[in-house]
Amino acid sequence: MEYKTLLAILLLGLSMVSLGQSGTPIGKDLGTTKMSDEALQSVFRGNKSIWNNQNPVTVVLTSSNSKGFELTAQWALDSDGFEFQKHWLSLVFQGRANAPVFLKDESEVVTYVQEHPGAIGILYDTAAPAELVIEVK
Amino acid sequence: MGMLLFNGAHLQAQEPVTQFQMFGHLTSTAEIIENDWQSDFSLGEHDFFVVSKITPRISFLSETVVAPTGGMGHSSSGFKVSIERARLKYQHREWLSIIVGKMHTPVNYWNDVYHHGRLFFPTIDRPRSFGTAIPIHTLGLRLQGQNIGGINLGYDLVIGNGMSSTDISDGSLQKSLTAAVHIKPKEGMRIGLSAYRDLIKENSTGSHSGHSSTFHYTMGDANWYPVDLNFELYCFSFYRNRGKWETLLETTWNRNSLSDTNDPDLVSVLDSLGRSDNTTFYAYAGRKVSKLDRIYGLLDISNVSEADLHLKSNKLTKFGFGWSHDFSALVRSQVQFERYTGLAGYEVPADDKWEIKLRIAYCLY
Repeated sequence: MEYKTLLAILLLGLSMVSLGQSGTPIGKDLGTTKMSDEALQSVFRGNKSIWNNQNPVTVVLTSSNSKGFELTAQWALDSDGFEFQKHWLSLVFQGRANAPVFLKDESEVVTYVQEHPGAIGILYDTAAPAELVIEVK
Repeated sequence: MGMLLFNGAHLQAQEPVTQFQMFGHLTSTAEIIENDWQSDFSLGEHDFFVVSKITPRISFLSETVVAPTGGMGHSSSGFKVSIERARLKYQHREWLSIIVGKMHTPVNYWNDVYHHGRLFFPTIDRPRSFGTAIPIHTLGLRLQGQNIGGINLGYDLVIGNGMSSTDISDGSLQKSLTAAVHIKPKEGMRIGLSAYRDLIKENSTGSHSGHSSTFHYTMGDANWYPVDLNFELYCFSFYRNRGKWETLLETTWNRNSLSDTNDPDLVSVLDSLGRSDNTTFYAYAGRKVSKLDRIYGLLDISNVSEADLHLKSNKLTKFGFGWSHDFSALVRSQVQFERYTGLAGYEVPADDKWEIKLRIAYCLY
């Protein structure tokens, strides 16, 4: 195989991985439309329960066997979906966090977030409605 | 009432959202005591766990446990049902939630995080302090704040029925007080300190003293005195789970002393007894050897003074090592080799045995 062909395949592969992992956070009535990456990670780890506008936080995730769940786990917990599921099970068992809402797919995540003030989710494969997009600072 | 499955496949209704889970475990033990082998298979606690988000700010949590009576395995004769937690929580702000009901006393990491959740236990057994110094439950009022500021400061202030109360009532104006703080400066790390104070009426143990009350004096014991005791407990916890390593340290310092409300005539016969300083130390360190496997070691030391009127004196040590394997996030198996030892001459006889334990813990929903 030609060197240039190999390089092209490698670059294409890298760009696909990057695209797949860059999710778009969405939320409704969070009191802000901009958040830092660290603040978002903290929310998805269960470390925030009330937004600054006093709406309760509802974390919305796709099911634990979905690609989105795995990608969120890698980003939020620096781990995998297995550890992320245990992390949330434990938090809920302690009574220190409300359970996330798990939905079948990203279209359900969009619908849920649209209908619930304080809800926040991440989309990887679905186009995010502009009015719900949370800008990452 | 709507129900949402935690694993997620379906959203059947939206509000209120109620989840039902069951935590349980099966255990097998083989032990050798003075060249005498014993073994058993035992059915452990089964914990029916319910959480409900009633409104966006009000939630309910309960645990109803069906547990073997009289201990595990060959000493058990049946099962009993116990409401271990039933609490309503109103979340006002990040820094203030109000909780009422029966709850785990948030004095240390183990009691606050694991308690009946054996799926989460890093070792098969609870620390020995769980059956002695730790007041495991409180029925009362709790103010809680968490994730405050950059170090994720959390606090818990609890006033509730004391250690000699039952699940139904206390029958006393005296209440237990708990003050606990923790910080989570990094993800996967929690450092906590707590203080607990109670007056144990007539040295009686109620529903909240411990899950293994064989270490407590009770009516009928030769050295049991029906005196009021001041009970103070201070705890330090350190937990870290990052990368391949997971560690947990739990220490307690417990001071019991005669209350000045006691009858002088009764107290005078106790001579030098009545004021004691007791300590416990538990350490766990585990290292991941694969995504699903972890090897670990543990050390559990208990030291209860001979002067204590509430707890039977002892100097006991347990150490061991084990291997845990997660079949999934919901099923964990552990095998553990343990050596029990101690010093003779105390109220609780020195242990001298080896044990091999196998446990499978699971969560269903």
